[in-house]
Amino acid sequence: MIESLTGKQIGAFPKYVREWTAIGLCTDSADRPRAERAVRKMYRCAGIKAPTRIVWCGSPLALVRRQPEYPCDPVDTLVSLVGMKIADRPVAKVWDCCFGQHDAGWLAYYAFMRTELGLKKQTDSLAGLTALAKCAGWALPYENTCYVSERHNVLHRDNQGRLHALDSAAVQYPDGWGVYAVRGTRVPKEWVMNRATLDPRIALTESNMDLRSAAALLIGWEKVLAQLSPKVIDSEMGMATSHGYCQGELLDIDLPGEPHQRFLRVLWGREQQAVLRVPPNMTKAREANAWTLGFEGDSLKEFKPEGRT
Amino acid sequence: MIKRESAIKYEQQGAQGDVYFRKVGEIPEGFAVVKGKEHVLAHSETGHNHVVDASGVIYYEGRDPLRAYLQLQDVDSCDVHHQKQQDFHHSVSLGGGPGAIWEVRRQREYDPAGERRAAD
Repeated sequence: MIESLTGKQIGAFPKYVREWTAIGLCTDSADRPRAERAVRKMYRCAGIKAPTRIVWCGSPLALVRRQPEYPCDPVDTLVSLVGMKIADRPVAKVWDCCFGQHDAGWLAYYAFMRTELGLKKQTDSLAGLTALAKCAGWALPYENTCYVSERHNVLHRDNQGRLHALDSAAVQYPDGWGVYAVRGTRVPKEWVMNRATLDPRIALTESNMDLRSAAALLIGWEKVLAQLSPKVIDSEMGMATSHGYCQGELLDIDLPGEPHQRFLRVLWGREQQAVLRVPPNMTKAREANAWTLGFEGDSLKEFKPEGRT
Repeated sequence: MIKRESAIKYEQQGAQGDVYFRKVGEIPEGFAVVKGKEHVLAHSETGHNHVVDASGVIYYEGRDPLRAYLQLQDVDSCDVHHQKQQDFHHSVSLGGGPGAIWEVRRQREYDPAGERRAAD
């Protein structure tokens, strides 16, 4: 029983983080000969006869669209060998896959335990999955055939590591399929590819705040508001200190079929802007701001903010 | 690792992004203690939660999803952090000493079909 890690073992963490992050993010073409050997090893590790066919696909989507056969599910077998519970696994086909390079997040732990803690026997059964992660994308294993996907060949992230691209797919595969994302929020492909003509009302009315924020970033707040010709009803943008409370600007905007709707442009955090919809009877920025925080009617006089960070 | 700057201290009222804090005299009826090592004062769909460490603090929630309460137990103040690595909201310090009660208000937005919480 290992009760604690030594300083040397803990000191090895960064090496594993670097190595396995690189594996997960790799955009090189799959090393097909190595990957096919890894697939056979994966089956052997699970005690299953190696597949007679290995079929390459251009993306995970192409892979899960292949005709199903009888699943032999070496992943289940492997997972049960290492003592993990899979009872709640969805039946969906995507969860019949092993994720190749995208299994890096959990395989890293076992690589550490194998090498740094000497747990060879306990991790032998992961040899195939580990080898596959280092040279290919997803795999969908069946009794006689294993479908294997190429790795993504395009990957864009922002400075926080989130999937992010304003002019293209954030993740794309060799067959052209990809995922569009803005600051980690998945957005419709059309938003990105038709960015110049994206309806600015989306940035004000989309029900999901993350999507609304993504739309605003794609369009640009200035453009959003300029296209809607807002009328400034009241403005209180000044702040006494760097952490003072900016009440914002109360705007009157005509939405289709909804004339004279009121919106409050506020500063959130460090120069982060947001536009919140407020009741149409608001007349002052301070009143609108207070309303968003539940101060209205008699309680409005209790609203005395010292600052906002 | 998020580098923390010193927290901005509020005496009576102040905001951290879309969360507002106000010192009050009592906790209304209908709010019950919520246990945990850390309390999320406001969830964000993007994971950028506003959190307070539970040590020395009692946290109360009720049926109103826009309100919650913090009571300092045996500490002079507590810090609320925003779990975001960039463009984050500065940490805020809520003081008043043992027994002080802070009301937590979550920002809402008008929706003709019904109000909804705003979240950064």
